[in-house]
Amino acid sequence: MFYGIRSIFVGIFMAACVSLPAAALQPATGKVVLSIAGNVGEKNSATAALFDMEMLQKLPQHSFTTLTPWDKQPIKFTGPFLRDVLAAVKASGTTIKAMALNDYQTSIPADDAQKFDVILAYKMNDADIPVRTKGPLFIVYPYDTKSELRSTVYYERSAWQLKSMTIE
Amino acid sequence: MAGRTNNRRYLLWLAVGTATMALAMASLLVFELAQKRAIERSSAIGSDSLTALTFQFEREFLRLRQVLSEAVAKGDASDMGALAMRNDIFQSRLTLLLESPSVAVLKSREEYRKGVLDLRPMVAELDQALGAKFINRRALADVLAELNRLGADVQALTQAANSEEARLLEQQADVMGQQNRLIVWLTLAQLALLMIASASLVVRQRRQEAERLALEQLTDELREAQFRAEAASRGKSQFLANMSHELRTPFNGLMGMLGLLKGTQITATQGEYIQTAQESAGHLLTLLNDVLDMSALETGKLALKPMAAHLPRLLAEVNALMSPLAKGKGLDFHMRLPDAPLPQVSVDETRLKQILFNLISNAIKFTAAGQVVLTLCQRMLDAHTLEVVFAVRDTGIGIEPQAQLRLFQRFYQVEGSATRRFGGTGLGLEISQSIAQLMHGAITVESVVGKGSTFTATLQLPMVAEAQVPAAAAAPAPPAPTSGATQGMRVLVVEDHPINQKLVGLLLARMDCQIDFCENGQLALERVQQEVFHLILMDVNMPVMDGLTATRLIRALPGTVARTPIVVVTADVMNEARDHALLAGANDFISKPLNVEQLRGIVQRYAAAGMA
Repeated sequence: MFYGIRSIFVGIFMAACVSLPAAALQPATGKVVLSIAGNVGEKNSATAALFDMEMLQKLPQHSFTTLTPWDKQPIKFTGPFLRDVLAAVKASGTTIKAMALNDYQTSIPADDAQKFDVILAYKMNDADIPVRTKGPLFIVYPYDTKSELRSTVYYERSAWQLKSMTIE
Repeated sequence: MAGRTNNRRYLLWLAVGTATMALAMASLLVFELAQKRAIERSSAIGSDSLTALTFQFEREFLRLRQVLSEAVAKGDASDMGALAMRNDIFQSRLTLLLESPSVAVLKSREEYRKGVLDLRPMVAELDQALGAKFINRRALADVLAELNRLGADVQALTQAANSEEARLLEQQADVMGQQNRLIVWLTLAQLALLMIASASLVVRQRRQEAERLALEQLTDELREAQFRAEAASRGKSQFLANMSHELRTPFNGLMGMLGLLKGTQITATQGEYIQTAQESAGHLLTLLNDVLDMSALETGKLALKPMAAHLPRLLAEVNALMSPLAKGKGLDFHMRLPDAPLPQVSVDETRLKQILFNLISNAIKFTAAGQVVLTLCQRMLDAHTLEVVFAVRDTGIGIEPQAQLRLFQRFYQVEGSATRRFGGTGLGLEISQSIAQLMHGAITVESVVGKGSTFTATLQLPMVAEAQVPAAAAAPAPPAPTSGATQGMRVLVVEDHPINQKLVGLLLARMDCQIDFCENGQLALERVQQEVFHLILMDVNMPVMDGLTATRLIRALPGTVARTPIVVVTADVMNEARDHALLAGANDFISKPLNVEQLRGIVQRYAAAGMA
């Protein structure tokens, strides 16, 4: 009960003002899908902040539909804003090193999360994303909103099959 | 005309040049846009490079094969989770190769069929083996064998992708190069056009400058020519004036002598001859006066001397002079005056009379039979100005409309032959018109050929108060010719011309004056300091010292001699001649040719004053 009220409370707060520091991070109860290490203020394990899918789903959710270079059709992406995820772990740094399941690595300037509505998507066209189709997590920029986003720089930052991030 | 055609051609060239330039720029723009689009497209498609996709694919293929081979070797279930993960990741790469738009160019190649499409049965087999409840090592080993067999094809795919990408890049570079060449050519063409345009601009500018200079030079030449022409015209006028002036001196003698001759004992026939000679001389004098007036008008030296005048008296004088002329030709001449009394006006009587004489004598001259009528009308323009209209109507030969226009021009007479038939300088109407204009008026003409003409002089004359005008009766009457008054009067005649000396001498002798002669101003100045004279008649143009200087010096002398009456006598009838004389200190001024009566009047006036 206590837990429920508290999360509603946090949710309202997050909706009202996303830059507000999140409350202390709960330990992951389900399968860990994302670990955030490096300069993070909130950890729920010895070295990193670990997220299961439920924790990500409890953050404010957002959706947008955009064309990507990897598909012929526009796709609807759903998930929390990257900046909300970073706020939840009290990340402080300039660079996010994102790592994918296939060892793909990319560096994302921390500013990107503030400048653009970058989503940490776990749903494509309202369906969970299996590993076989770039899942389970996919860093997506709203490519259709700004022409500068439709460039290799941002395409390279869009890591799919994301498994971990390191804040530097 | 040529200039306009030139200009039009220039504008045409300008338009053509501009259009060409615009066209070149537009095509350049189109090329650049096309290039931009090509680049955008290539970046959109190639955003995930083909080689990267195939490389990643091959990498995952190899990792899957390795994990699988380990699993097959170990033969337990502990690695199955990792194998499933590798399978998933591998299949995500496979999906990309099947679906990514970037791969489109590769799909037609044999390597794609072998390295991607032919993989699908193996993948299905692996999925089945992994989905089974129990691990089927045999099935896994089969899949591993298949993977080993496909290794070469997968690598071939990577190489194919590599060569395809290289080909694409080459193609792009080719297209870019082509477009670049075109752009370079277009730019060069534009440059050439620009050069041509600026060169032609320079040429045009130079030509215009040259034309402008030529025009300026022409203007200068014209100005110079005009100046020369004006100078020549002035020179001629001056020559005419000088000539007339020179003519007046001998003429003076001629007229004077004729007058004297008339007073001697002669027969009636001789008297007639002298009369005719005098009339001819009078006519000649009019002509000379016309020429002098003309040159005065031309040089702007003719000024009016308005004085309060009594129009009825003036008209009576005109009538007295013109009536005999008309009567002589058997014409009826009369005047029609308004019923209302004519107010006093300020006018130069001599010049007004000149106009009327000119119009009336012209009318008489060109009328063979019938009548000449002078009609006078008056109208108040405002409280101070009276408009007086003198209309002279005749029943003469009339004037053609075209001729009327040129009537007031110099030397013009109605017909070329008219000069011979009717005589005259042809200056009269121009002079009258000029004088009328000086009087804020004009002379107009209406005429019907064969019926007659009407010349109308409309003048605006300022009115004066009655009291200022001497009544007709009060006009200065010439003093009674009493020879007694002038008897023994000592007159000094300062005159260099022997004929004039002789004439003046004879005239004065007839008045019983005692006469002394001096040939120039210097001698006169010395003479007056030795003797006392009652009157000095002073010529102006003389050698050694002119009359005006002598007059000034005499006036500057000490004693009573400075007050000796001096009358300047000159053939110079220009307006300023009188002013100069009076300014120099002369008491009076008379012009040559000398009129007996005028001279007598003058001498008697000063005799009465000086000897009284």
